Amino acid sequence: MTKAESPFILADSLFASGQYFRSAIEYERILFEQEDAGMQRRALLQKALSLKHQQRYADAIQELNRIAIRHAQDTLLAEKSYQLASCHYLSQNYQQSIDAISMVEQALKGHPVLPDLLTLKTLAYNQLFQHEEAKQTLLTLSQQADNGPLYQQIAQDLYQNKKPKKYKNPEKAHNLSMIIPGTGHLYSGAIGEGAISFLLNASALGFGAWHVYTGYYLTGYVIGVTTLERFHTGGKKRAENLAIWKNTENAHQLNLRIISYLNGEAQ
Amino acid sequence: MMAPSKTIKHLIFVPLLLLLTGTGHAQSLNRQIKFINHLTNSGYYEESLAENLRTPRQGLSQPASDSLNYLAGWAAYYLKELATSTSYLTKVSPSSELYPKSHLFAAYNQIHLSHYQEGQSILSDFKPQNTPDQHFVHYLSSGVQLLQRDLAGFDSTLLQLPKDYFGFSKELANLQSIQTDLLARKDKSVWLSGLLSAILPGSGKIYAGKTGQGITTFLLTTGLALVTFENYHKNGIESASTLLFGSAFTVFYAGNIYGSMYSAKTANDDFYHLQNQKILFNLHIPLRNIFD
Repeated sequence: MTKAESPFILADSLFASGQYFRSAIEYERILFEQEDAGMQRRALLQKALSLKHQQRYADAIQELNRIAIRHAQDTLLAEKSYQLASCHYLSQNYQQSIDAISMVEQALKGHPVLPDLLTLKTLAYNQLFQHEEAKQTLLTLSQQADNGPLYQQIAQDLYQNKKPKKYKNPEKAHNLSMIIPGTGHLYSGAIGEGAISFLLNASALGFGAWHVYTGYYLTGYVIGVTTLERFHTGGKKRAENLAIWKNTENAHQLNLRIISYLNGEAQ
Repeated sequence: MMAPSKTIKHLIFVPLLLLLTGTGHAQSLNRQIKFINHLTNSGYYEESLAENLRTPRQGLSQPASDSLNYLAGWAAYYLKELATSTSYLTKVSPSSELYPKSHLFAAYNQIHLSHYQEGQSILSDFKPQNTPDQHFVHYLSSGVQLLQRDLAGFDSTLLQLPKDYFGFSKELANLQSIQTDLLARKDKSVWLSGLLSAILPGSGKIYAGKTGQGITTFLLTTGLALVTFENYHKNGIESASTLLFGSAFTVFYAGNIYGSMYSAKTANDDFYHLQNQKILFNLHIPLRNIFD
């Protein structure tokens, strides 16, 4: 081991044994005590990885952005880009993850990390329901990666043969349930809940209308209107939340299917 | 028995070795303190505290011990672990230049935690090193008196404070204004609030300052009363619908009285809580401006 590597012994061993909180401190110590630019860059990357393992993605991104890349041939470019994009992805900043990858795609043409980056980009596009872009990224991958036919098969199976589920607009779900109670639930895929919501609202309205019709004006108005207002307001909010939940679930399921293809588990 | 020449060699070598080892240890400790300070200044408070507590405390010189205690207390202060912060800050010795800041902030920590006695005790034990330190002892004491609603004590402590001291003149005026508000305060009566709501549902809540809640309660309770009346009028007292809506009305009516009494109590608590927050804010700002 050269003398230059010795400051990393403790930090690297802590990192290797999964003690990420302490390894981040030791990498920070290297940054504080060592002036060598190469050591500083390596320490920054390792510190970012330690923070990523602690799920402190914003801090990891901050450290990664401190790594100066001078030219496209920089050996750290690929690693920095992958970690930056994955940290953005894990902190649910999908657009920033895509941007970080797009920025280095050309520079990393032919680099072994590019397939991983483009796969990550596909997953990020799926999270944003930009399915056409996700499919195009898979087709680009099929031309560049060693297992090109597999990516082509994924694009064919998941985006052409069977269309991925479309984005459910929460505002639309809210508005639908406002006009006809329960339809926002149906739009969000919750058929049973939609039917129950419709029946509850109809019962409240029916109760009110029946009592007014039979001459119980106050009972019909006070109980009918109050109950209807509660059911109607709750139903709108529920439909909106269901759409948000459904989007998360659909994007997650699609990405899980891609991962299972890549792991050779797909039927 | 050892040869005399060998004994002389040992006599020279051992202290030299100890001196060199001691110097090496001191340098390493110095580097460690600088690193902990760097972590604190960079905002890595959790890391700073962890690294600090990992540093062995045995055989430390007083300045090194003071630095470590100060840095541990300061990191804990930023982490809002105020009891931990106090325990370290109070260990800083009077020989350290960080002594005034450490002890005054330790006192503030205790005051913030509502441990007024402990805060006052730190201030009593504190040895001011100059006139501004003395001013701050009195200033913090006046804040504690205001927090404990000892308004006469606050007045007498004010006499010991310079009105034009740049460090806290504005905040001192704010404390006096808070004292005026406390003197002028007329608490909301819990019983009056309940009585008002018994006469007119929701009015007790409006009296307690919760106008929106009061109007809602009025509409709901009155609505139920009207529904009960309608069912009673058409079906008689023994009908199921009259009993059902009558019971619902009774529950809402009684609940509204209890709710109004509770609202009056909450309104009083909210007022005093807000005043306490203002007092703490006015104690904190001058400390940060002068000592940080």
